Formats: sequence, structure tokens, C-alpha cells
Amino acid sequence: MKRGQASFSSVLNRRLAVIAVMVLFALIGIESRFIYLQIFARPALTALANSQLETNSIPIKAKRGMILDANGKILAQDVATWSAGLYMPEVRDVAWTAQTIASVLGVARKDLEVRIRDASLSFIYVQKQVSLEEYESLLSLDIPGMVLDKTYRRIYPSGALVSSVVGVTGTDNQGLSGLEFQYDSLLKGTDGKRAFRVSGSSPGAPAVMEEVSEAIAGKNILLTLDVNVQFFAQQALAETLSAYEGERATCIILNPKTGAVLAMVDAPGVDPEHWREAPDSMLTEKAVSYNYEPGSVFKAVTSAAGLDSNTITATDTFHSSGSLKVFDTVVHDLYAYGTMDLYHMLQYSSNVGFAQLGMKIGASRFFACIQQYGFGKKTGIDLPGEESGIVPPLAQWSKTTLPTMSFGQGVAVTAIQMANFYATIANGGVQRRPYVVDRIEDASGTSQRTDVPGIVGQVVGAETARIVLEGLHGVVKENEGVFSAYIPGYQVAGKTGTAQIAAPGGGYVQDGSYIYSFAGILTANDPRAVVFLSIHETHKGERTSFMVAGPTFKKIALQLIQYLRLEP
Amino acid sequence: MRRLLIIAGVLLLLGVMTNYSITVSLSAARGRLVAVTPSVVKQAIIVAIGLCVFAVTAHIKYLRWPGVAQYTLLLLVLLLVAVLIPGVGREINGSRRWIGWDSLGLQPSQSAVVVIPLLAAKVFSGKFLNRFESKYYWAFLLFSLVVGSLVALEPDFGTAFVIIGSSLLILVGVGMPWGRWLACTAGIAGLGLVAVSLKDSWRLRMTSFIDPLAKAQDVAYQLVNSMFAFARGGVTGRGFMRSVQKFVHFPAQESDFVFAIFAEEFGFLGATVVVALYVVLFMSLLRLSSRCREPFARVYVMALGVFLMSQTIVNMGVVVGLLPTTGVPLPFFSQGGNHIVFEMAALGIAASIARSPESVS
Repeated sequence: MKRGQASFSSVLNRRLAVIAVMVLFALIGIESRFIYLQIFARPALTALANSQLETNSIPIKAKRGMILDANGKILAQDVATWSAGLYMPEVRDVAWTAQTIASVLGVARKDLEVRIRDASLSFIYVQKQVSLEEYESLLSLDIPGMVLDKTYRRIYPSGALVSSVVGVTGTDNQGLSGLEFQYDSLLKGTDGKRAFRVSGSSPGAPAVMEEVSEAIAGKNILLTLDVNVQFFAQQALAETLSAYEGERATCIILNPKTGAVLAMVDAPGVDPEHWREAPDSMLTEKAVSYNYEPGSVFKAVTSAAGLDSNTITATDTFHSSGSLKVFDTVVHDLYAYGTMDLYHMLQYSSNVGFAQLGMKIGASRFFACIQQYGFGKKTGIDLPGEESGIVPPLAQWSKTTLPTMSFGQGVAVTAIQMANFYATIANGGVQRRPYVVDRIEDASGTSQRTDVPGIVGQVVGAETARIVLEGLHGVVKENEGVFSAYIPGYQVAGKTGTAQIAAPGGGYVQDGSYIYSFAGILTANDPRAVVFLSIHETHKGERTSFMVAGPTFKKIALQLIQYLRLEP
Repeated sequence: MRRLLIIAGVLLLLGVMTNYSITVSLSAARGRLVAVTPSVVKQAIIVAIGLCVFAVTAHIKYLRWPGVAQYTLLLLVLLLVAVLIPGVGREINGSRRWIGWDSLGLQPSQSAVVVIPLLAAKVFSGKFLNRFESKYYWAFLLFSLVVGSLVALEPDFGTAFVIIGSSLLILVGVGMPWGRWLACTAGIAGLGLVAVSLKDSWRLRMTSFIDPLAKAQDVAYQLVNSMFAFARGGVTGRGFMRSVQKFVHFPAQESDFVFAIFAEEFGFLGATVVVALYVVLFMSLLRLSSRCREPFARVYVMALGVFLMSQTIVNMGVVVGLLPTTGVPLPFFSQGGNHIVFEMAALGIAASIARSPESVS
């Protein structure tokens, strides 16, 4: 037995050596792995680790730029409010956190709890805008992880008055329509952030460094628009709409010498802080985005084309016997005006006269002229959604296209195109690109003009422009007494238009509703303002343009004369 | 034997230091600058308790243990069964390992570091020495398989692996013929593989270490961050308190992966020093074993060395990505009460053996 034990003892000692060797191999494996991880794979793994090192960040909202009118009155502005968010790594008790926040904000506890539990990011917004009372109670509760940050809410002090031009913003303060949309990238600025970067460099010190990059406020946009002018234009349109039960109305007031838009009104307007309650179609600026048949206001265009193409002189005459058969259609005048020169044709608004004039110009020359005047293409105004109007290509013209287009049918225009044409006439034939943004300023006050208002060119001959302006002055002057646009002492020029409304399937809407328009120039001797207005689909009262659009123009013109201090 | 206590003491100290580095920095990161954290205080108290337990077991005559070894096994089995009963065992993170209340929990599986060496010493001293009959090998293997299986059912594969793996190594140490040993090892390994492949989530855990970067966002999250920590450490380390990765890989950074943070702060050199400490501890125990004339002492000390070394290798193998991710504490080093107290108790018994004149030649 002793021998057995002794030999067993030597077996055990050998076995201890075996175990030691096995352990040695395992440890060599582990040490090799240390060498691999800590020396050979180190650069690659460290780079990967750095890329995945969580840098949590909380956004700091940039203040959106203001939109101001020509007098510096604020049309759109960001005001400070508070947002409530949660920085997830610091949230302790999810159920309690959800319960506490829900009781303050009055939101569903369950939903909030689920959102917090399922949060995949280190930061979530609980509510983007909280009231001052809510902010104060959340602050006093000292909820771990709660981040109450300054954010902004957009307000529009002038409300619906300018909303179609200024536009609206969405929940994240992003521009959705109008100038808010057009200049979103300039207005929105650059959001900053509070980043939390892990740093192990300083023993004892907070190892998570907070890096703040400040938000850069957006730029301010200063408009040519004057809210005072906008206001009395809007008032005049609103009164007309209510008197004649019209659907809507548009008015553009341009400075013909520069192309600056003094006013651009869509009535009724949309409350920009509650735009979701209005149909989407109301958010677009109709003055630039709505194509329609102009009717008689287009006769000034035909007049210019006749003179510019050297087809006629101001004293050449046409004859109206009250109607004119043109191929398979008959053109009517209100009366048999007899022999008329261009001035009288404009005064009488003679369809027969203009149909003859158009045919005398000829299709290709007429087409070339109206294209040159800017019809069928965008004016280039700095507003989104501009339409081009519709000028059918020559090849599609039928035999009656030319004579009817001559008095404003079979062609579609936008209000801004029409206004800009009258501005061109008022400006001696030199067309300018209309614009609403005067300049753009950053927070430090340095301003820059991003859209240098451009001269399109001498699109109407200077002499032509003078004659047409004189003719348009005559239209108002010679209708003194009857014509409601007449303003004693002032040389107002202008032209009415009554247009049928194109029906969706072709032809015209037959319910007796029209588009009444008026283009006016204040004044013929010193053109300082062009007013173009259109009133759409009235359901009651007068059915002629000079009874509906004329007085509306006159209301605006009287105030404009006062406001701009126009000389007689 | 003073050397055992010194090495254990150094490892305990490094563990507390790493805990301090992690928890104080995390507290600072949360905006609270503190001198010491509850976690550090708790671990210091546990170390103190561990030292007391060591003092007690080191002063108990070791020859009292052969008489109670079988009861420690019985008690352990009963507790491991109890842990599995809902309402008795507490479930944390999907496994039942605990009995008791929050800070006073008992984790029975951690007592294996005492029970398995005692069991081995009991079985392989006494009558076994008369005939070297095979039934003793089988009996020991059966007991350890019962314990290991109960632990695996919690489930705690890491500890089960350490229990069964070290038992197999102990069988090498007590002279089991190689043919039978290899057959046993192959059979148990096969059974283990079948067992873990039963459930998809288990299989996924067992294989995710093979290509951890591909699964960095979920199952291999801890492992990838552990590897990152090693990489950041480089040769000389970032320095005490300067770990970066500790901020990223919560939640288990305070326990089973703590060595990775140590390796980040003290680099390859520091990690190798720690490995060397375990090697010295292991070799000291093996040397003590070879010097023992008394069979119980001889087997106990060998078995304890094997058990502690197995656990060390498994923990380090996991944190460097050589083994599937399982939660096994690093002896003396990792945070946590149970394993430190039981390890100190087991080491105390070895110290008692080293001090007793009748055991050592």
C-alpha cells in the first residue's frame, strides 16, 4: 500500500505538470489575444470605437429671420417659446417620468411611456411647444433627463392681410408657401446643438464634455410691399366682394419705374397661424399662379402690337356697324360706333374694331408681339408657383383665334403679367422684372440685394407706349361722369375688362359669372403706380366691369393718391 | 501561507480601484462630482468581510472539513434547487441565480469554489487510495455534473462551464486514466453543445463571439465594447481613471467585463501583470499541493488552484472574445459579494493547510 501511495504520489506530480501545461496554453492564447487587440488591431479598433463613441446631441433651434414690409413693419417673426424633451441616458424611472410629465402637459400617460421606452435615440422631444405655465411646472419638478429648451414659434402680426405673399410655416417652422417657402434657406438660419462628447482625458473632472455650437439666426427679408397700401387695397376688394357676393379678388400695385410690388392682395386671405383649416389652394398667391382669360384689358396689348408692327398709326380708322362676321363666328359691339381711330376704339372698347386690327396685324406678327411683351412666359417675380399664362402656339391657331385674341379671348394671362404690361406702358415701353423682396439683411444689419431688379428690355416702342398711355388716359377722361374711375384733377389712365370664365371641359361657364378686371395707371403724366385688380365670380348685382371693378379701383386710387402724395 | 493572502489582497485592491474609476467617472458624467460611490463602499465592505472570512477559515483546522464536505455538497444542491423555484429564487435579467433580498442576496452557485474542491478532496482521499477504483472518478464526475446542470438550468452557462470544466481538470490531477478521461470530456462536451443548441437565443449567444463586429448593436454589444477598451489601452494604457470606453459599455461594466476597463487604463503591461498574479497564485497552490503529504490537503489545494484558474481563464477568454459571452466573475477582482466571500473562504482553507504541520512535508 505504501508503494501504491508512493507511485500514486508521483503520478499526481506528473499530472500537476500536465495541468500546468494545459493552463499555460490557455494563458498563451489569452496573452496573444491581448497582443492582437492592444497592439496589432489597435488602430483599426480604436478608429471604429471612436466612430461609435456616442456623441449625444440636443438641437438648439435657430431663430428664423423676420419678414418686414417697406416701412420696417414686421410681417412674420419668431417669438421664443419652450420645448420639452428627454435626454434618455439620464432618465431614471420611465413610468414615473411619463406619469409626471403627462400630468403637467395633459397628454396620455400610456402613449408617452411607450415613446420613452421605445426611444432609440438619446434625445426625444416630448412636446415641441409648451406654455409658460407648463414650462414653469416642469422646471420645478426637476425631472431627471428633462431638457427644457428655448425654441421658437412663428407669428404673423398682419395675419391674413399679407399671408398669400408672406406664406406660412409648418410645425418645424419650415416655409411651406409664399416667401417663407421661396426664401426658406435664407430665413431658416442654421440650427446649433449641444453635443455631449465622451472624454476620458481628465481624471475626476466631468468626463462627458458639453460642446455648444450656437445657432445662427436666419436672415431678415425686407419687402417692397407696404402694409398700408396693402390694407386699403384689401379693404376695397373686401367691400366689393361683399357687395356683389364675389368669390375672390386680387389686386396688384406696382411701381412702374422699378417693378417693385407695393401691394399684392388676395381676398379673402388665409390666417397664417391657422392655415391648416383652409383649403390648400388658398395658400398660393393667385396673382401669380392663376391663369385666366383677360378680356378687354388685353386690348391695350393689341393696340401696342398694331403700332409696334407698323400696321397702323394712331390716326388710322376702323369701322364698327355693331357686329362683324368673322368666318363662322360673329363679333358684337354694344353699339354701332361707326368710324373710330385707336383712341376711340379703346374708349368704346370695340370688339369689332380690335378684331379688324388684329387681322390686319396678322397672326405671326401678333404672336411675335405678345411674346415680346412677356405673355406666355413667367415674369420672373420672386414668388413661388408662378404660372406662364397660356398663349397657344401659332400652329394651333384656328381662323377665329386671331380676331378673338385681339379683344382678350382665347389667351390666358396671370394678373402679374397683365399688371406688368401696363407698368411697361407706363414706363415708356421699358419692361422691368417685378419683385417683392427689396433686400435681405443678416443679424448684424448688413444688407444685400440678392435679386437685383432687372430690366427686361424696351419691349414696347417708346412712341407706342406714349400713344397707348394717352389712349388709356382718354378711356378714363372721356367717360367722365359716367365712368366711376374718373378722379377730378388727376390724369388717370386705365382700361376695364370683363371676361368669361373658361369651363374645365372647354367653352365657358354659363352661370352668368364673370371676371371683372381693371388696369389703372396713376397718373398718365407722372406714372407712379399701376393698379391691376380682378374680381372673380360675382353672384349678385351689376354685370359690367365699369360698375364693379371701376369703383373698386377708384377707392384704391383715391387713397393711393393721398398716401403717395401724387400731384394733380 | 502569506503569499496567497498578498496576491489575493492585490487582486482585491485592483478590483476596488477599477470599480472606483468606473463609478466615480460615471457619476461625474451624470453631473455629480463625488469622492466615492456607493458601489465602491459596498465592494470595500465585501472585501473586509472576505478578509474576515479568510481569517476564520485560515484558523479552522483543515481536518475538520473532511467530516462536513458531503454536507456542503448537499446544502449546495438544495439551494440550487431552491433557486429554481419561482418565488424563492429571484429572477434578474432572465435568469434565476439569487436567493434573498436586494443587497443581501445569496448566489449559491458561487459557493462551488469551496464545495467542488472539498468534494474532490473528500472523494479522492480515504478509501480511494486503497484501490484507485474507477467508481470514485465516476462518483465525483456525477456530483459535479449534478451541480453544473442545476447551475446551467438557472441558466448560468458560464459558471456551469467553470464547474464542469474544472472538475474534468481535477480528474486529470487525481490521475484518472487518459482513455477514460478523454471519453468523458468528449461526451460531456457533446452533451453541452446539444444542450445549448436547443434554444435559438442560447445558440446565438454561443456563436456571436465569432464575428462580434457584425452583431455589435445587439448580442455582441458588450464584447465589442470590451474589445474597444482593450484596443484603446494599447501597450501602456490610458492611465488610471482615463478609460473612455467605460462611459459607453454599461450596464455590465461594473462586474464581469471590468477587466477590459482595467486593460484600457493600464494597457497590455497592466493586463499581463494581472495575468501573472493569477499564474503566481495558481503555481503557489500547485506547489503547495505537491508538497502536501496528507491526501485531503493535497487534492483540495490542487482542486482549488484548478478551479480559480479555470474561472480566470473563462472570464478573460470572454472579455477578449475567445469564448462565448457568459457572465463569470474574475476571481477576487470583479465587483460582487458572493464570489469574493466564497473565494476568500476557499483560500482561507488553503492557508490553513499551508500552516498545519501535519499536512506539509
